Amino acid sequence: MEPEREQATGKVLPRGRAWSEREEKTEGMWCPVLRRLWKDKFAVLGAGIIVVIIGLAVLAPVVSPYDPNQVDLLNRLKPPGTEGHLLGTDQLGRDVLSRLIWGGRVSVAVGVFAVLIAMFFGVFLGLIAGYFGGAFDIVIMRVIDVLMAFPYVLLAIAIIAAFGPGLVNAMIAISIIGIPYYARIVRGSVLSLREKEFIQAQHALGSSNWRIMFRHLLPNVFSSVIVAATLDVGWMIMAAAGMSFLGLGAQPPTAEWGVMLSNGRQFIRVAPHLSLLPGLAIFLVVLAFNLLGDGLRDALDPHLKE
Amino acid sequence: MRKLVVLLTFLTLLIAPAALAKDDNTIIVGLQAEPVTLDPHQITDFNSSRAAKGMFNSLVEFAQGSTDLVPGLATSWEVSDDGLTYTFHLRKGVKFHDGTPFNAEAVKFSIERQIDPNHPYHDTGEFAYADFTFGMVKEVNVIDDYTVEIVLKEPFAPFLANMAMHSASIVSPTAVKKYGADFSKHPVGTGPFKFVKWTPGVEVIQESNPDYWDGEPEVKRVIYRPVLEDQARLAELEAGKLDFIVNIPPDDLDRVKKLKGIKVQEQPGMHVWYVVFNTQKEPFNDPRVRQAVNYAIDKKAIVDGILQGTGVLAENVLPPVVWGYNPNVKNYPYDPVKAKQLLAEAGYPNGFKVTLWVPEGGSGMQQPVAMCTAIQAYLSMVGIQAEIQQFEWGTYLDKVFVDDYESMAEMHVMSWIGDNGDPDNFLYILLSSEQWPPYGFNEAFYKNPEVDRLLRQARVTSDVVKRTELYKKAQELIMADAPWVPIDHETQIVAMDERIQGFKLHPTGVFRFEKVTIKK
Amino acid sequence: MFRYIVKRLLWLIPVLLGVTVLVFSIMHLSPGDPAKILLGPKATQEALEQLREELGLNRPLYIQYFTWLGNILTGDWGRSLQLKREVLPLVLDRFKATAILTMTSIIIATVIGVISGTVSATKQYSWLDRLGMLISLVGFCLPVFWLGILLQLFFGLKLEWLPMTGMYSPGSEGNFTDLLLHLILPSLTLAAGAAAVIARMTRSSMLEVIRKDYIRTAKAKGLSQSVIIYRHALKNALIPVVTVVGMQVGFLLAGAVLAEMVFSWPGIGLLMVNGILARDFPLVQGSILLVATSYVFVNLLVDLLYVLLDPQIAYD
Repeated sequence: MEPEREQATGKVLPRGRAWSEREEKTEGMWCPVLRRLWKDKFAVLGAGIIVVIIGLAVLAPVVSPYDPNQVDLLNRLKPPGTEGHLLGTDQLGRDVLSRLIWGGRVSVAVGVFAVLIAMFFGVFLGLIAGYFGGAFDIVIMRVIDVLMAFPYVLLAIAIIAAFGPGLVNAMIAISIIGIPYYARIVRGSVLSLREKEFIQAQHALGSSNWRIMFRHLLPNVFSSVIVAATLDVGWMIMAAAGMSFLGLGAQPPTAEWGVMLSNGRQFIRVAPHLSLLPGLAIFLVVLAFNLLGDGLRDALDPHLKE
Repeated sequence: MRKLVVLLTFLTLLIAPAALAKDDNTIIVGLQAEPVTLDPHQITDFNSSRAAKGMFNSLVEFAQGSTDLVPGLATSWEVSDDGLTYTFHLRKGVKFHDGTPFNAEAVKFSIERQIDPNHPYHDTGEFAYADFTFGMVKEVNVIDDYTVEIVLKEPFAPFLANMAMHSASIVSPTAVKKYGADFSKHPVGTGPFKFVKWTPGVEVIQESNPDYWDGEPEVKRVIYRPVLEDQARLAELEAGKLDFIVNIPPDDLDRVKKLKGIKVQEQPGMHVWYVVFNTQKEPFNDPRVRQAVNYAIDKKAIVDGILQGTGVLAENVLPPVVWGYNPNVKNYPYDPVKAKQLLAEAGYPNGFKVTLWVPEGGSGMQQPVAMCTAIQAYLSMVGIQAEIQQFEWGTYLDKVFVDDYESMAEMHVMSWIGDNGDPDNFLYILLSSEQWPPYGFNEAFYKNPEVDRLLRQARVTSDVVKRTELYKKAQELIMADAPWVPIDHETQIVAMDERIQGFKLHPTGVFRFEKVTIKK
Repeated sequence: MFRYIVKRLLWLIPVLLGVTVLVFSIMHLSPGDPAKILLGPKATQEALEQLREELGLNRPLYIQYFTWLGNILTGDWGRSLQLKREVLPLVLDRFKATAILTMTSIIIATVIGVISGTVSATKQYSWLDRLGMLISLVGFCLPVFWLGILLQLFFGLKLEWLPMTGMYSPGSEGNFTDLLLHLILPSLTLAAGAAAVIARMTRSSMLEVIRKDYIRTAKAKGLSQSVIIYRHALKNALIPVVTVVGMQVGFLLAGAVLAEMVFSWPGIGLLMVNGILARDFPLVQGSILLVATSYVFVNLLVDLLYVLLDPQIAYD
């Protein structure tokens, strides 16, 4: 009942991710993990979707049938299935398929970068807080508690309000709100590892604090961080798209899923595919990262699955 | 689900007071947004002008459906030979809605309130149009109760047309004295409709004025309601909750025209939508670059494609509905090859980078983001990399209307809707170098001494034939200099319940319901 | 327990200070002169000087902060640059619409979540359980703004059963039925994610309780399945659910902005976003402050409620 208890005090979950983060203590051993993961059909499905989307994103310049910003005003609002435009065209006659592919590039990049930034700072702060304890721990954790006293959407909006709307600012905003999430996970794991024999042995051998933190503790908290990060990429993509949808993130004519959705809304009556397709893309990515993340967690800690 | 609706309707009968049954003599108008003020002297936006017009008169009025001038609160007038003194003979027996008699003092009060900083009621509002309308007025003299004389500092040909604008409305002095700054929430005029109630965010209600000097209107009540979303406004018209709406989304227009019980009325507008260059800065201080951009943009595709025919292609800076229009002036055709050639001649064979400022919306701006995205795409085809920066309308205006040395603008878009039907109201105010921001609206910082001379001369000449010649010449010079890329003239389009009879669209965009009837 | 409550109340102080510091710094972090930002670009030099004097912009930051805090506490939240009205009444008025939306959503989410979570738990590993969990996973991953558009398309455009946008039809302001009709789609949209979380939580909490000794005892005593579930298990299992529901109130309060955008719901989120786009700082600060503060107090209430339900926690 321990994880639930933590949730109960409202301290663990920054954003309603209620069931995904339990604390893992597995050490290394990736082969059996992958084997277990392979048996989890949902996780494989998730991984498959991710591979396809990342592949399209990376290969966008090659696979995209048109320049995503190429305007054709005499062929506007064509429905999917129109000759030459598999998924139709938008309000300016731009090819929707091409924009979805290029939009995936933006969305996936923003999601991954935001997670990397949040992870970097979160892991670092968590390591310091957990390892050194004392004043470090108190200061870092109090600041994090205050950050978590803000609902995450509001915090992101507040940060954007200060720095001004835009894709980069939106990405920074959502990565800042992700920091506490990683800091907490890492700190929790470090606290339990700190007293273990192999760490104590390093002290006896005279290893420096930094060496112990980065060479010995970090690899051991890595698996929980990976699970958390996998689940988080989906969220970051959704959050970034949400900010763009509100007009606070990517700006036109950038092909970005949130912007496409928000622009398409005007044409909901005459061309519903303009709002349906980008939303579907966001949904699939979020779902895929959740499936994979859940699968990874179960594979890393088979005992949890009962 | 139908059942749910029935059930809820039943519940309504139990808990809520029954919704008002719709009155046959009421017209409910769906506006784009909430009016800002109902004080005609303070109006700067369409929603306010539309909601306020019916309550006020001016000395001279525009005719129904045109900018011809007809007697309003003045039955006749004379202009002195030197063009400096205007004498108005006022209509007798007219009363304001609050019972105050209309007389020469009220006229003097209405004008001086706006232009005299020492007037005791000058601080009851911000009079954005005062300088534009009355800047040339030297003094207002009451000759007797029903005669008023306005003396100008210099001859000013469009003065009579100005006297028909909102800012020239005659307001009840008693009401201004009574309400002070709150007059904008308690408007009192002499118009065909009387103010009843304004619930912010919900509606402005007006009822017919039984004592109106031109006869009580047949429409008994007019209600103005803000409905922000275009699609929602249209849906409410279809559902019968609104009788009259503006801003039909271009892509829905065909469908709306076919709807039963609804009719669409359109008319070419006194409007122009244009791209503005900062002509004082590189690269747009070179006319060849400006012409190149003009050639690079397929304006017709924008009008036919994005606007779906809700505007007509602009050939000129002046809309054809305004007199003095020069039909021989033609817009630059779409010719990317020529554009590239001009760019190369100007020293930009590989194009350049530039920022394009775009408002998210705004009165008269049509579909700014879509139109600018298309413009951006056309520019990229000739090597000009335009970066779009979007701003909210209010912020946008603040950024655009600054001194030339402070201006950060390179390229931006703007639209203008005529106020009084005089070409001076387009050409002088938008393109004379005497009108550089922040004093006027020449945001291109365009300066051509010959154009300046022509426009100034046309201002002080009273002969319409001579003025027409001057304006025609100015248009030729302006189009050759290309300080703008004129794109289109928006067509005014309204959709209404087909029982509404006799409504005429007005070039200034206001709605007048006093001569309208409703078929039972 | 008393000590816990006192501790919890004391914790409010740093949190509220943190919230105000953050809101305060929004304007000072953003590039530009705060006085110019507050008065807009058309301000005269004298007016700017006067405001700088008033706000003490020439003085150290912490003094400025306390001056600002003093104004906030005395109800002076400034004037909106864009709407030219006092911020406090404006945000309070818009907050009402958001509160109506959030509360309706949380009720819907709780009812759906608890019922489906209970059914899933009592029929663990059945097809019903799997289906329920699959739906909740989908509900969890659906972007709010997309779900809203899907519902609009289906119930608004295709079936024409429900209004697509707004809080009231024009002319029906204040009419309860009209409000209900307008509320259905946005509240369902907003509730979906929360319902999924609550369902998951109820399920795992129920499973936990069902395995406990006293339930086994009850079973051994021969009480019927439904009596056990509804009399004993549910009551105990709902304790952690209460917390999750409480937390969701906070998330929905802030997350409502997306639903408000889709449905043009005249709430505080929409006001905030428009304020950001218009660089209307007093308005943005006011709305963020109000939402954040109410979130903090909702959390406080939930924590206190939780202690009442399960005094054990106070001693941990």
